[in-house]
Amino acid sequence: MTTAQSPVAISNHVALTEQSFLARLNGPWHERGLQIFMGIVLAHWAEHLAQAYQVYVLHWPMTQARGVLGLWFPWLVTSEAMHYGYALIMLVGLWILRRGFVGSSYTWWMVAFWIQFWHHIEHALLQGQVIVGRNLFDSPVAMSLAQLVIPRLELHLIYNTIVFVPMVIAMYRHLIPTESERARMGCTCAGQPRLAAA
Amino acid sequence: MPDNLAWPPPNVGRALLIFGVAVAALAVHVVHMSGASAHSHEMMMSHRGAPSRIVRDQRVGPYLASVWTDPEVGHGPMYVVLEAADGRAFTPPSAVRVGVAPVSGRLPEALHDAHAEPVRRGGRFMTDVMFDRAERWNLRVVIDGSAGGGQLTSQVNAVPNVSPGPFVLVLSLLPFLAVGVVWWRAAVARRRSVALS
Repeated sequence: MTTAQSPVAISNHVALTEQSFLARLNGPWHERGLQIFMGIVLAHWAEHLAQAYQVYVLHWPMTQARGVLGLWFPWLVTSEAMHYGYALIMLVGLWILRRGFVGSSYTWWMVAFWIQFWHHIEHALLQGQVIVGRNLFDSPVAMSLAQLVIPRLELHLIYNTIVFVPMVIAMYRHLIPTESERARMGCTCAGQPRLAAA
Repeated sequence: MPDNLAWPPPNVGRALLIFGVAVAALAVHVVHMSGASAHSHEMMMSHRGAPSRIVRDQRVGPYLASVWTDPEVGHGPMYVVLEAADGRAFTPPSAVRVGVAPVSGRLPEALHDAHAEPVRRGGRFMTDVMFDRAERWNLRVVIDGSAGGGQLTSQVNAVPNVSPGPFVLVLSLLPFLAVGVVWWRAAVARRRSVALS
């Protein structure tokens, strides 16, 4: 039989099947995982872009400017649940993909994680006020803490930006690692395992 | 060459340049279309900051009324929050109206009907008001209902809107540019790596 596998290939296969889901996600699946995660992040930015275009270029009233999905599903924009859900997805994504990063990229990725952690607390505060039926400071609208000094639309963009910037720096350093970092990487993001195979 | 190393396409640098120019052109277009480059965009802005209480627990008929708004120049919500006075049971009013007019008298009063919002205690009424200039404004809230009514008057200082306005659009475009740059740099690094191997 010409299909017989070498002992190394069999060993690799056994190692792969024994890996946990998280280990695979931070190893052979890390590249695809990051692509999907970045797709979700950019889709969210695209919604903000559409909303800003509706407000500032089409001059729609603020209440009508709901992005793209919000035109068909208005509750997505008006309910706190959607905002909290996205903050949670971001937090979980940053956490479960962190082990694939090494060196300085890991540091930057965790900076993004901790900022997102606080962002998520702010959204949990908003969601909590909706559930309890009472707002902070007796305000007629649900309030986050930073909203005391920055309007909500701008605040949301600022939060997303300050999470996104360290995330992109982490991605950059992960895709273009130093030689020592490359040697410690277990994923295909920088291409090295494939190059070795080639 | 393995198929995975064929990624990205060979003309990625030129594609990124075109993408960057397109993003910049779109940014210029939207800022221009928004009018920000030609005149003040305060009129089209909404004041959407956190509302602050500008009238606190003022007696109006059978109610204690508070008024909340974010007094920035532009359109924005104004809330009238009512509670029953003297520990009585709360009877919702049939109508709540909010009037605003500049103290200078340059405009007549604009009177708005406020609609009830769902709350678990007392009543909350919201309407959209417009402050077209940063100046002092007269505020009048008129309440009618079977339990009684009345009006309260106060004044509020409208302040300039400090929102970044259409530049939010530019900010929202930057992530796509950033991801494009990272993708391009990674592509260059991969190609160099392939060439060295």
